[in-house]
Amino acid sequence: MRLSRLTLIPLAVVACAIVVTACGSSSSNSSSSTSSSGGLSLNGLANTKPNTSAQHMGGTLNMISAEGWEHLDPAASYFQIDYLVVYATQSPLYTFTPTSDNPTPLLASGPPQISADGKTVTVHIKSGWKFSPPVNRAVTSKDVAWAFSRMFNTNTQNGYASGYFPIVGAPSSATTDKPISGISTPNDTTVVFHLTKPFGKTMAEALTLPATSAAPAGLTTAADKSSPSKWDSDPTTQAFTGPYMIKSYSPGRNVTLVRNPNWSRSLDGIRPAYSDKIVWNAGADATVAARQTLDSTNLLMADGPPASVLKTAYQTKKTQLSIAPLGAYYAALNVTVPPFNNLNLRKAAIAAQDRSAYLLARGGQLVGHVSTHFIYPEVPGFTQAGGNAGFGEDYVANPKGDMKVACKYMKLAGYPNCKYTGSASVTIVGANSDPGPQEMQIVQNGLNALGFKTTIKAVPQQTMYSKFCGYVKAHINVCPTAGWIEDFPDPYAALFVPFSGEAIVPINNANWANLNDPKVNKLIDQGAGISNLSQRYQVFAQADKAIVDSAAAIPEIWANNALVEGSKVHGVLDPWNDDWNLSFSSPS
Amino acid sequence: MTRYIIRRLLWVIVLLVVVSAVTFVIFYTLPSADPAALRAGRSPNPALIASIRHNLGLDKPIYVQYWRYVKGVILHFNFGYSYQFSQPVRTMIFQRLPATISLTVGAMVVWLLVGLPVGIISAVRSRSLLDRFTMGASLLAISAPVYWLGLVGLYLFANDIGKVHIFDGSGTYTGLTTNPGRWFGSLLLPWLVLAASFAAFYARLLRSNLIETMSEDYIRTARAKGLRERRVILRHGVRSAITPIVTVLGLDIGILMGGAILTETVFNIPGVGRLAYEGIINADLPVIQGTVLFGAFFIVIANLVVDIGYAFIDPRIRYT
Repeated sequence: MRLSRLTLIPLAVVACAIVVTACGSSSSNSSSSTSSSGGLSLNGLANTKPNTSAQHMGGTLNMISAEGWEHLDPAASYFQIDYLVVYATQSPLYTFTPTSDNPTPLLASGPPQISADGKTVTVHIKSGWKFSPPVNRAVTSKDVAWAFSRMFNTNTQNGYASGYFPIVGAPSSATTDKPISGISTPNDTTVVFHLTKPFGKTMAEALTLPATSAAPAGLTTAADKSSPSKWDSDPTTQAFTGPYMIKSYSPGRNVTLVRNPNWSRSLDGIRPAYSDKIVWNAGADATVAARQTLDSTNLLMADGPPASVLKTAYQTKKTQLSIAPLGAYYAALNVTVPPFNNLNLRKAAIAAQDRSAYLLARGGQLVGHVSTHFIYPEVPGFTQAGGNAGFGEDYVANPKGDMKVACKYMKLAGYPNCKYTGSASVTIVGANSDPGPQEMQIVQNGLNALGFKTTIKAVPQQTMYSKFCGYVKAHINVCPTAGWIEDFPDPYAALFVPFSGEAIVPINNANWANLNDPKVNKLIDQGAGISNLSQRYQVFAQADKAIVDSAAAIPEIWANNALVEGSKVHGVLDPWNDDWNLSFSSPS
Repeated sequence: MTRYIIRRLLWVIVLLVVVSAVTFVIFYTLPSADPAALRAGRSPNPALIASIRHNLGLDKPIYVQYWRYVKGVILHFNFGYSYQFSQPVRTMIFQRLPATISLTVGAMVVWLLVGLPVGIISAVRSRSLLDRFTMGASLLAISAPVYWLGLVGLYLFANDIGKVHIFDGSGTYTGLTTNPGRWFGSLLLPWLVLAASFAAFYARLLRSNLIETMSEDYIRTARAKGLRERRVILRHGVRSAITPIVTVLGLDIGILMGGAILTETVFNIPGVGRLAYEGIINADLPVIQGTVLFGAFFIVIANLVVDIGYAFIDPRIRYT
């Protein structure tokens, strides 16, 4: 996920920190699960699935959040909270639903047709779909092609276009909405994408991303010549294709959505769009907002509640609390610079870690569980990757750490006394907000036990990513407060950016370990080209194992996200985005 | 007096230039986030980063960037574009300024209405039970962090999450022109919370000044002339003792106009302080720069007003 969204991971889970230990969580996609583990029952949590008999049309859905929005232009949007608005106001070609992790046609009229070589993807769109006022005209395939041109215009600053859409002729640094030669529109309802590599299945998943929403061809030209694009500055002037339009917007403060009169429920076929109006106030103090939500009948809180409120919610208002899998945390070990350019030293470092301490630092097992590999529970392929147990490597076997195993690998690395005596020192950089400092100390303790000389540098989260861990030339040895949420529920989205050498870029690099292992790269590429899901997940499981074998990161936790809602509002959760779906949620 | 004001106004310009330069240097010297990287999104290719850096002018030497900024501010009153929100900073600040002014002015009225009478009564009845009680209470109010006090106020008295439903809760702020009644209601608790420590501080400050003043010879003379005690205290004692209060008041108003970050955050008031905070956590230099400049502007202007005000309050002061 893009930087801002990455920053959300720690924020969200910090917000989830709760002093409840000796408990467990379900790996179910819904908080309405009825599991229990380790003495803590998850029974009785909020029902966050659609419930047509309990939900009704009309009324105003009230939202609240501590964080505000970044970009409500679908071409630029790449932030969990932005997605809530964009998926209610726009219509990507495909979508995931609260009950399905499979891409379901939305603006498209059927599944994408992928050629046998995986290099051509053909999408047919529905006839009669219209843009909102004042555009008021039918959406055509040219508008879809135009959306892709916008995506590759650097002025829109899209975060994923080049990664997920390897389209022939796609520019790397255009500053206009330039037509792309690899996209053709043989008629008004057909778009054909020609790809540079056999990437059809993966691209088909990525066609769920918001930037694939049709944009009125030609209408954005002037706005997109500015940097940043002015289409994003005042989102009320956009052309909407979703059930709602943005009526008013104050950056970081509030947004009001009203019904789009040109949207057709029957043509959409997926989104019920219960509320007549959605009013969202942001910028609240997280503690106050969470308490307001729990004490209200009609509020949905878009970001996670802080520790104290989460504890209260679990103990006294469990039916207003939902917990769903969020993503993964790990400590990246930079494999390109000493001392961790040595595989055995990395394995020793992992073995010496008390990984259960990371979980405690984040609040105990209600907010996740200790991980053993990098395809996390909500991502398809988790089972093929060994589930909770993982692949059985001895250096990740004991969550509390195993100094005997660590010693074994120190000896293999050439340190017979199990203590590092080399000259390289280790720089640990992490976020200066909780639980960053604690996590850095946990890493430090493990490394110091093996004789490494360590230095901790605590910086703001954004700085950590843009100037240290994500800046290749900074050569940071360990980044222990890194986390990842997949862009869509597919193992490619979970593994490619954080672990493929092909994804390494000089700035904003999200492969924090700088892992460029040919075997890993090859397996991820191979998996991306496979359409058969069973085979696909098997190959990604092998890639996951190769990453664990490379010991490029210390697996910390598979995290959960907690959300709270008012007593009478019916919040429906999008498991893939780990947040509410405004088109499915309904007021009291 | 006119020459004095002109001279001071010129110094205001110099000061603002220095403040903006220091903010610029701090931003570039300390390890803040790279704005181009923040805008570029995940895994950008180097061409995209270069393009953004160029478009934002970040590829120019720092002095060129600074010169462009100063030129924009002076010639066009343009404070730049927020990296984070893709909005003109000037618009964002002006949108939020009414909330900050409402909060500051209202709180000031409260703390003056409470702090000054308490200070005078405590000074006049020094060492009495009332004095001990009010000074003890003021110590408590000074010691209570505004963030904590705000949360306690909400948990006790807010209409939504409070135990006793008296005041409007967090996030209810309404503009004065939209609905004056709701504006007043939504700000009542924030005013009380923000004013608490200020009122306490002013009361203590005025008390100590007034006690000292009341022992001066001219006070004894005034009493000997047969003036009523009330007149002696208010016309002769307070007028002299209040000068330091006016100094502090000017600074406090200036600082708060730059944003009462904690109060605005707890009560979800869309003010300049909250904007500054968001700018800082997002490494949004234009927002940081704009809010700092505004804050500095208010502080120096408030100081100037205070200095001019001395001439009217204190007959011993004359400007040349």
